[in-house]
Amino acid sequence: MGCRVKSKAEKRYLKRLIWAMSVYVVVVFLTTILVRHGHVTGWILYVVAVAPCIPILRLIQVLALYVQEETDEFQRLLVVRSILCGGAAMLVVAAFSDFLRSYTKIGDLPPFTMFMVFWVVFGLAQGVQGMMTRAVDDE
Amino acid sequence: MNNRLRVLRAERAWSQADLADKLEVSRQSVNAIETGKYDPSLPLAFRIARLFEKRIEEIFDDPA
Repeated sequence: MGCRVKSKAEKRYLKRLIWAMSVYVVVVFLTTILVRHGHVTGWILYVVAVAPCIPILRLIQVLALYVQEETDEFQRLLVVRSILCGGAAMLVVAAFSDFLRSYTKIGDLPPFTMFMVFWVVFGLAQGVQGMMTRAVDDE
Repeated sequence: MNNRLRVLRAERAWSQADLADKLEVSRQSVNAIETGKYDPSLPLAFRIARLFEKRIEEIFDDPA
């Protein structure tokens, strides 16, 4: 994307994304500490264990808000494509893992793999599209 | 879809950034339309046509 001028929607999106990502990291950190050292048991353990899902829901909402608020239809298209790439990659990895686990003894993925797969592929798709559609200087 | 955006812009000595500002889109979008990588929606095509005071079919040409 380089030094491309960002739209108001994109600036809002980046601000929200950074906040949501930061909250996610903090919640995962606190959850890990609580589960490992907090002697949390019973139904509270279940609540604590799923707590990181809340910032993930917020991240999904941040993406949806950007798609809704971006007035530049081409930029919107690029982000939607990236979301599709991230979602597709996540689904492929999940399917491979599920079938391997179902029919063999391997296939267990480390925790948070899906989350990482989505964001890495989403970022790569953004970067590749950014390079492919970079405006050449015509001034 | 072919278009005459680059020619019309050059006639007015506008840069891609100038046109992007006038259309309230990114320069990347103008570039993608000019190079045929992206066909604009009907509302954006109307905005472009109004800006250049031309009809849509005078700017965009469907070779099919």
